[in-house]
Amino acid sequence: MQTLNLNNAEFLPHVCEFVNEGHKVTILARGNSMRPFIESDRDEVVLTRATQYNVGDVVLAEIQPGHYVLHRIDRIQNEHVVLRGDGNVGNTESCSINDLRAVVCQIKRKGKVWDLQTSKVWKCYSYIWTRTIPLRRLLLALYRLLWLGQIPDRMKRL
Amino acid sequence: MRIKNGFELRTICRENIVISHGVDNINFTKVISLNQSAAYLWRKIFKKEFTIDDMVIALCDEYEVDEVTARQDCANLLNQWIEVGFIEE
Repeated sequence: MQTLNLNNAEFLPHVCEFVNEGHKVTILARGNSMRPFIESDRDEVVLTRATQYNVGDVVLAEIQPGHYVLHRIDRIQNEHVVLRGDGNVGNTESCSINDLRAVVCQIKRKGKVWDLQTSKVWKCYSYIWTRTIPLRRLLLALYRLLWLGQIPDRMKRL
Repeated sequence: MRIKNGFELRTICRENIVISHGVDNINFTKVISLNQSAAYLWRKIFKKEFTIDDMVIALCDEYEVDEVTARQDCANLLNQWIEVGFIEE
């Protein structure tokens, strides 16, 4: 068995095509921008077609041609959407609602499947986490240090 | 024997990837990719009843390989495909 590393700009349009055909598509999460709930190269997300998008949804968006992000909808103002990764503090992305390609309906995390429409834990986590933006930098630092055991370089030098 | 309904070979990012197309959920975290000659054989026998002899003939037609080697390679490939559930009798 070997791992295929597929280029996102080439791979994700195929994923979007399958989603548009009505399939649910499972992909491996990559990157740290949806921490602490979704961990890179460990957790899987199931994407599906959405009839409408709501604030709080985790979506796959093509924010520039060939540039995709899997982030949470922070705000929707008419056709304009602002996205923010759970693991991001100040960084947001803007796009049109037409640039949203799919919504995450399930997360497979540490072997457990979380249905985002029904999971009370997910809803509770989402409610709390989206209201902790001023504290996020500190919480994420504690998560990396205490949970993942990642010691920052500047602390190693002490 | 034949390739089961629901499996489809697609070229994604220059890789020949077999996806399970019939089911609701396409799982890209567990895909099987085929090399060029395996993908060629897949296309030759797709949606057809076939035997290992058909695979050997197709392989010898396309590649410069002797029949004994081709048969051995086809048998190995077929065993792998049976093992992962691509083939039905």
